Amino acid sequence: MLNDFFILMKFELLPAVIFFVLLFIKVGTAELSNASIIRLANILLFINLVAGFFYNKDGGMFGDMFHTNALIVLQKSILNLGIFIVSLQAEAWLRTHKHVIEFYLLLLSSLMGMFFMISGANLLMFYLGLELATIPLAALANFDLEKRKSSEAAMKLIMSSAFSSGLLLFGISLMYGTTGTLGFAQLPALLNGSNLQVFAFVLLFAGFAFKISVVPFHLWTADVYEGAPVPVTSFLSVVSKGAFIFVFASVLYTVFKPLADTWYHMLFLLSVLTMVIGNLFALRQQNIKRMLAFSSIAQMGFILIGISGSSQAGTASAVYFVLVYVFTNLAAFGVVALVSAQTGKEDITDYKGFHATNPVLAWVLAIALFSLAGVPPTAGFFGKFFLIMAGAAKQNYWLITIAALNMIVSLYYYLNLVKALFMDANASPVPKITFGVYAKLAIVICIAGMVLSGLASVVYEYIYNLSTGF
Amino acid sequence: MIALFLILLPLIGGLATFFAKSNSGAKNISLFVSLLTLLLVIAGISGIFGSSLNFYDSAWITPLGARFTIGLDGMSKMLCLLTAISFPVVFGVVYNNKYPQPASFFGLMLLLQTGLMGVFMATDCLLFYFFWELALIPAYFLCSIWGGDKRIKVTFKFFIYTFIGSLLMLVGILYIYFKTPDHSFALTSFYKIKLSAAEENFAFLLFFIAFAIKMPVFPFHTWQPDTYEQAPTPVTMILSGVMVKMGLFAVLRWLVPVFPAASTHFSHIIILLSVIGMVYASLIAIRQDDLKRLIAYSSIAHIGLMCAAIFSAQQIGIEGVMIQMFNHGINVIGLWIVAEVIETQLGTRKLSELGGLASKAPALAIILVVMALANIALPLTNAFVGEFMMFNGLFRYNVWMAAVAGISIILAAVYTLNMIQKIFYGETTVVTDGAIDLAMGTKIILVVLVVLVLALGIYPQPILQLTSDTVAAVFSKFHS
Amino acid sequence: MSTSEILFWFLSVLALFSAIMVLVSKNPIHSVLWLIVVFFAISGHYLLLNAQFLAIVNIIVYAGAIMVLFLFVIMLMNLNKETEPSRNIWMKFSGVISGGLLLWIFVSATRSAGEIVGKTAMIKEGSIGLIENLGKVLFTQYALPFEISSVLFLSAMVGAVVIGKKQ
Repeated sequence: MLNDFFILMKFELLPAVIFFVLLFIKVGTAELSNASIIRLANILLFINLVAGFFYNKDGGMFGDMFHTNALIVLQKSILNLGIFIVSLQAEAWLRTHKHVIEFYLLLLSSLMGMFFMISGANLLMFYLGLELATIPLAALANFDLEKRKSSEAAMKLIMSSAFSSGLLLFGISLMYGTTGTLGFAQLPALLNGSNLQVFAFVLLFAGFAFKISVVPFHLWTADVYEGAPVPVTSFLSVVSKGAFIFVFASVLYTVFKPLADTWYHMLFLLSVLTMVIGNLFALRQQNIKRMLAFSSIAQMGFILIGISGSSQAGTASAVYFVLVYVFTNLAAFGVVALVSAQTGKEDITDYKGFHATNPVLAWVLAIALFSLAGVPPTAGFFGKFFLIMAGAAKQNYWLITIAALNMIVSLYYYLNLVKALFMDANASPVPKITFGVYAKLAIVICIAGMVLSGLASVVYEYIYNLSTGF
Repeated sequence: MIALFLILLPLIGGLATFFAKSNSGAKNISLFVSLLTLLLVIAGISGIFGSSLNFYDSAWITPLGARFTIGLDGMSKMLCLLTAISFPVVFGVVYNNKYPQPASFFGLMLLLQTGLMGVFMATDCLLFYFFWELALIPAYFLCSIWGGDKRIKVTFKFFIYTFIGSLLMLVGILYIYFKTPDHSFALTSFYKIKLSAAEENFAFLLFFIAFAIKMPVFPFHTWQPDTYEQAPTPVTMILSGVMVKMGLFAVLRWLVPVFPAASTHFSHIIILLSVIGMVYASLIAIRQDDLKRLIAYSSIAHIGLMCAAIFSAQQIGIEGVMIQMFNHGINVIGLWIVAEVIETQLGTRKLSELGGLASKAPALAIILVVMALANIALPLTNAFVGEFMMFNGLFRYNVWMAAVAGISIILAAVYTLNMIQKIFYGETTVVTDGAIDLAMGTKIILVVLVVLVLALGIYPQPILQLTSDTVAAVFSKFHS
Repeated sequence: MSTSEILFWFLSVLALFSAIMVLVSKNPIHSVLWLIVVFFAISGHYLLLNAQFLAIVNIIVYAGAIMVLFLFVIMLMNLNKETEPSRNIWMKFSGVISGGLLLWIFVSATRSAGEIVGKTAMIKEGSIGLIENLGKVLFTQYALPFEISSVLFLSAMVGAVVIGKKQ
């Protein structure tokens, strides 16, 4: 039984151990330099990532509070990969930061929260995991302590999180009130589609929609992404969203299967709104972080198309797209992080002529932008294609056409940035960015991921075999 | 295996060229790789190593039913040959030019070749779409970084316009995929679909618009003259010599055989649009002062005829299209080479500023005249054979259409001979006073092209033989 | 009407009225005080439902700790009715409409709910809120969430210290 405990909860125990190691270093008397703390943390995170691949098994513990299977293990590994790359990219900014250990403590507790949320088979556990995932992020958003924008971002994040948690909790309590149980396994049988239950479901859905910044619950996204320090933005936009997508898809397919017709229409409407509004607003942005924020909102609209397919391909395409999204968005934010850490420049006009001074980084950003746009041979094309295929299985060609049109609009602003990088001249371009081994490693991982995870079809096939639909 | 290497060789060569250290290193690697690809294509066509090597099939994305299937049938062989000939020719012509960042330039050219080869060989629709889109990125970067003054806006428009077409095609592909009996993307599965008339027309339109933008066919042609003008001339050679054939190839491979009823349904309006485009483009070409734009509009007219001939649904028309795809490629590349030589030597492309070059550069003059006569489709040149067959097919479809299309030949003669006269005869101008004749390398390449023009004009049988199996297949589908 | 019913109606009206006064008061201190009344009213409801422990904990934690914290913050930031920003009339209008719609839908959904129609609430009979049941469940069935919440508090503290510490 103890053996089971260690094996089944390996993904949660490892970050907890790292958390406490770092905590003891902080309260202890050893005065470690920032560089050595960062090195230690990255090594530990790498060990965490690698250890996740070995010796996993399916099972449950603590009743229905915790369960795991191969797909959940894969999802957690993707999040581990995401946090590792974020940590690598944060090195440039953390080198001179006063609170390095606290950064890692908060990041790890957020990760633990996400893991518990994914593994939970009970609404209470899910809620607690969600809170544990969100609250450290609100503190992290404030980590640019001298900047006012950072505090503003943290304030907006905590306000919107609190509001969405309130809605979510209201929905959960009504759900409990009408069915008498919190467990995922028992809920589907007790759902009878009465008005109060549908109302509770809508509230739950709204709580989720806040977290994945689907329109019209997206208003916090742009300001928070712009104000928070870039590594925190990367974490928020990739790892946090990815975790919520995983839970969203799994909850919709298992727990709320009886309400499938209801949520299909909701997903259809929201995905159309999200894609259209996300793309339209992204067109107008001048700040690169805001542009990437709105672009990630539009990408979420795409994922909703895939999830609406309700099939095995639906789950598989959503998980696959999150993996591709980890590589792509982190590559884009990585370059932005390096530029921001060294020069503080964040406007698109500052990026003109970037290719002349920094050819490698310009190519990395260009490949990432093409992947976001969904142009072959990058993995982004395959991700979007699988999502559209999954959505098309319901024969709703309006959705497909709107998705295709949105790909064109999104291509416009991505191409605009590529054009600025390569073809526009600049009197004072961004100077040569020096980046250390951490940033190089992060870039290599992201590029390899973007190029290979599309062409190597084994990745998608593996995910597909692990998924279940209905 | 040969088929697979035809894709891998330019790909690896391109990636290797990116890392070349010096200008000459980049040029030599790319020239070598392109010549090797040409040898490989010839080996594949002649069947020395056995014809089974011309096909390759392996599992790709099994959950979706997409396989990595490529193969060389008659039309593919001919187009791969065209591609394989074009790239060494282009590299040879620009060998003495200096481009900034040559490693990237030549690397991107080879990546473009990979995309083109893939399009011509793919028999799985998802793979076809993948390569179709893949060819776009190197073209975009090549035009945007090394192009003319107004290149940025123009290439932006080119990319987005083509992408719109591709996405419409994607919707169409998905639509057809769900109608195939075994849910797969293979060409053979696409042949087995059963659609109602309305569904077939809808899907036909989605595909056709994508191909019409690529070819281009009036009224989707607005991106073409600007892009050809602003692109660096070697890239234009590939764009107009090979990339437009992607559109025609796609119509013959993926559109007409899969949607025969819709093809017949829409043929009248498509032929009408093509013929209007031919006359319209020819009229505009007459008024052009810029040499590159003139050749661009002339290209629209030629492609318009090919498109009309396909939809005339006559066997001889389709045979004409096959042979003309190859011929037009050779001829237009020859014309672009002349334009390139004139531009690099004299620094201008304007016909009003040129004149009297024949006295200064006789070899260039002779070659251009031959190419120009091929453009007009004079007998003895290869274009004559193709155009004669195409007009034959169009004539059998509708006499009046053929007559109106015939006007464009006259107009072609007008602008081509006008061009020759303006450039080569008359008084020399300030600009052309200091002109020298062709360099030896360029001369040799152009002579080879001229020989091809004349040889295929006199004896077109090899190409006809090569593509006869595809013609029969398409024709039978049309009338099934 | 029995005592329980009278008490129920009185506490509900008190809770609703105080909640509205929280929103309507111009002075923030008054809002906090009205909120304390709301908490007392809710605790009263808990007592009616036989959950004495929950009632006491509600008062101690909410009315005691959290509201005192609110008062400290208001006092330190010196908020009073002059510093309250006034909103655009259209915002207020749309807020009223959307809030009103939500209320309307919720009330109609609740009224038509099969689980509620024709039933009476369990007064003085339930055992869910009793401390021994809570304690048993908290350390057996819900042990894992209990431990997770401790990690949550720890990370919240770390975050608060980082933000609040004098640089």
